[in-house]
Amino acid sequence: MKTPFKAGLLAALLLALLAVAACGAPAAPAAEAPAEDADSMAAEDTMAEPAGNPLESPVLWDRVASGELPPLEDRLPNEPFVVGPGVLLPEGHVDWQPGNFGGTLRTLHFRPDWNPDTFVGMNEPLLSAPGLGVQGIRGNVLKDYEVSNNNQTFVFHMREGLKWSDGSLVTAEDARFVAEDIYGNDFLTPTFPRRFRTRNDPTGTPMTFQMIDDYTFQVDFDAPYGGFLRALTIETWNGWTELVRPSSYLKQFHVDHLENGIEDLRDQLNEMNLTDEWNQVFTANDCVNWHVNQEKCMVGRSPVITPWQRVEAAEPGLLVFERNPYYYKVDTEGKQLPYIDKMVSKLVEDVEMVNTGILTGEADFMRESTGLVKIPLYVENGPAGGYRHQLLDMHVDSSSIWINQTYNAEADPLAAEFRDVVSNIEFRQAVSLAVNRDEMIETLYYGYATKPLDTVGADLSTRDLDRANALLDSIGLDGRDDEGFRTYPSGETFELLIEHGAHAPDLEPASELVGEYLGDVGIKALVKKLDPALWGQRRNNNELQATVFWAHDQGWDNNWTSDTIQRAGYAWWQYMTAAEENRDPTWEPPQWVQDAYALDIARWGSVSGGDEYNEFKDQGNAWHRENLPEITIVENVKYPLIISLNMANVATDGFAIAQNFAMEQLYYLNPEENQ
Amino acid sequence: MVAYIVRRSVMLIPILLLISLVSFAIIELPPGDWVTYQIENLRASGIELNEDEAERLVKMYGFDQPAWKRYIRWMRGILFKFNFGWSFQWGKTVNELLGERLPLTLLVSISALIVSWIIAIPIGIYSATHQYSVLDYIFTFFGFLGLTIPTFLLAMVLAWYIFKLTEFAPLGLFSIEYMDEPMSMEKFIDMLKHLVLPLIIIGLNGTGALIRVMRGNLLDELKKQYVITARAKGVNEMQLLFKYPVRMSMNPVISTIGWILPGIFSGEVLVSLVLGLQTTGPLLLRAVLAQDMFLAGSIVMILSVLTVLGTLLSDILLAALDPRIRYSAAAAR
Repeated sequence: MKTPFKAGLLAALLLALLAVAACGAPAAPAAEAPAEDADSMAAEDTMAEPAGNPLESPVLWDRVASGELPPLEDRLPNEPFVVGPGVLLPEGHVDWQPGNFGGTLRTLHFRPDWNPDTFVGMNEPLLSAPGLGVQGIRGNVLKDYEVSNNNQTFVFHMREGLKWSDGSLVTAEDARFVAEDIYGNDFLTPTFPRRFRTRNDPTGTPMTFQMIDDYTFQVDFDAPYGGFLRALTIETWNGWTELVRPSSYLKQFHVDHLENGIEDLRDQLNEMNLTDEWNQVFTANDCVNWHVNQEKCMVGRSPVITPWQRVEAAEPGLLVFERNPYYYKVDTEGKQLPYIDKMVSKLVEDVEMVNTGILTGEADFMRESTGLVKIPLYVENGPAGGYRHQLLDMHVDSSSIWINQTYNAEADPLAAEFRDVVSNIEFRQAVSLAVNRDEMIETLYYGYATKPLDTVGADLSTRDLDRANALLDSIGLDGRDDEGFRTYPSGETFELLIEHGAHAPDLEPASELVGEYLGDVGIKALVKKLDPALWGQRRNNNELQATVFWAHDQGWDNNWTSDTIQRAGYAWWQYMTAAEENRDPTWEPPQWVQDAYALDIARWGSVSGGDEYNEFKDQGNAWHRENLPEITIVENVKYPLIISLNMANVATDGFAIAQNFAMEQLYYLNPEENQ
Repeated sequence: MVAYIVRRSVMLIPILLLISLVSFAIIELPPGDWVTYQIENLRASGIELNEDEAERLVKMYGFDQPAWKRYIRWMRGILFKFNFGWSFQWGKTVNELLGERLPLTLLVSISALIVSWIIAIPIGIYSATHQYSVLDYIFTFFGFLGLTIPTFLLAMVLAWYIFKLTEFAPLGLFSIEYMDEPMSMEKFIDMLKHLVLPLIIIGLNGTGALIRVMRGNLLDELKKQYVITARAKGVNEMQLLFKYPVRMSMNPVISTIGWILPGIFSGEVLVSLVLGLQTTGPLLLRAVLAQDMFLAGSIVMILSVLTVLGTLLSDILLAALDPRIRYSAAAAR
């Protein structure tokens, strides 16, 4: 009995020692190993290459040789979309060169199945224009269009021979299916989409749809809708699915097209714990453009039209996209895009972990989660991590103060008094005059931003405390409490609660600074950081008094005057965007709010980018300066785009998101280094 | 014994039903739902959904139905089909999601548990038998450190130092270049390299506590009369130590199995978050934040069920291991 016990103890101690030793040792040699392996694997690959069509990526050669894929000419439409200088991005924004095939683009995301960068990079709208502009609207997924009858009739021609990623043809039946079987079915679409109502007006008449032949269809409106073409480009990041979806695939989930109706969906209903809600089964299989990161858009499930398509990954949380062999764009040499074969995105915890990943060299491309405040870190770690940052324009105003004029938290007895105060234009003007924009531009944006001349104007964006104080005194906030803060006429201290979600690295310091500036004019501003999800819920419940958040830049053509209303008063926005029958008849928003919607409806009626359109846009900016629906802090902010040192066709000018959108023309100078 | 187990098991049924009800209620408590979260997400990325689209989503995902209806549907699925429902966030069934993550979670948690037992139990025994020796003081010092340093802080600091010193970022379970490769020798080695840090951190945390418990219990036992008697009778010291006092002082370790089971299932949430491990812990956190209610509800429920089962299991083990508990239970009847 004696020895086994001793041996047992010894063995246990030995194991413990081994465990400690093992834990301490292996960190050191880690760095070199993967690099060597990757190199040797790449070398083997190049030696084993079979000959194939030089106009298609070598990764497809085996599949073509084995007959799994038809040859390139049978996969492309009769008239492919040709990408060259000035096509995806305007001339001068990028030094465009025809590229090389190959390589893997690595990136990171922090929300399950949602990576905004891969979404924007893969999205294909029905029509497009260089950059994200409104000038030169042309075909994209659709080949071209004819407009007649005073901007009321639109005839669209489709690309003959264009194929879904599973090889089936894209035809006008796919458009008819969307217009009639999806939008026309109120179990699937309770309210007809606004975009397809006259002038993008929620109270407008729905379009009429007519299929002319296999590759032509016509859309009619009952009044001029000059902005309709614009509504089919990248406006609000819509995509091909607005009007074209793979009908033969989706008919398997649509009761009108099933032999035994709902019974044919019984297995899926059971799997989802449902009884007769076939619309939920349809949604679970309907790959809409902003779902491209999700499993339902994966190879083997819904076909897509995008440059890459999601495939199965070995690890949960990893998004892997491989090239779509049927993609319809080619470069000037006839090479089928995209150049890069594969994209891999890793799920990490939050936006800070994304930035840690960037620092450690785990990203070859990153847009949305970067921040100006991180630039020193990018510069320090870039050379070792093999990346650089490219400063481009941001399509949103980086920070803007929203004061909710319809604030109505049930528990707050002062809510009505609060609304009375902040709905004075003098109040908003005073807030704008109190903000020290020069200091913010210097400290938060390193000088890469301008004062908001379009939306606030030079006068109100220059700090003037005396004027701000006088304005506040004039609206009955002239009383002061014991601590010197301004009081309501009733005597209660006026408090402004600024709640922010820290959605971007600059929002937290910006909120703190705004709070301090308001203190300088006697406003008691409290600044509070919330979880973004909670922030969103409080906003949706109309419980946010004020916040600092970004807003689409008014200088950007995609922006609409009435978008500002949801920042000026959430209840107004809910009222104005609801269909007529859903609006509360007992009240309506003030006239200046309704004016913004009238301006936009008129602008939607005009032809995008035309003189009339620009006139309405200028009127919108004038309306903004006059009413200050939100108080913009800065305009024209720059944005660092993280790019691999090995990557080419990278924009040096224009919007960062426009470069993101033109991802199919990016290529690696030495693809073997980024396998 | 059998009757005891059966009785305890029957008592589980109402408890589990109550747990399911409470789990569901907690997840329903915050305002909004998954659809509002989703719309907020899109908005944050600049995609503005119109009210009509939002209304369509609410209907599409069944949020226009009352909560009790959704609860009954969820429970029916679990009870009759072992189907935990649909995750809106991931677009697949909860069963599938858990199936993907459980192997990794179990691997990390169980190996960390083994590491901490292997280190802590011998050290605890040594410390107790050599009370107030130099090594005892050293172990006590490190034991307290292990107890008091929060694991997530240790994880962040160590991860950063390892990256600074070696340019190897110990985040996740695989380097991004191996993540999509099929399992190979290189990938396995890569995984081992990534596994070292989480194991040290998670393991060390449990180790500190376990050393203290083991040392304290064993000290109590060693002073008891039966030990003195046995020693006076000339029983070999090693045999004496392991046959009785060590066995007795293991009791508290066994009785914690009730908490270890759910712990193994959920993984160390904070450490997994910091080190980017795809275990069930972060899955739960994300589900709660996104109001992915069936996923969050199912995980909370499974955790509760495991706690309840773990308690039952540890009671049975204790009874089997310690005759005194067995006899007192019999005497009480």
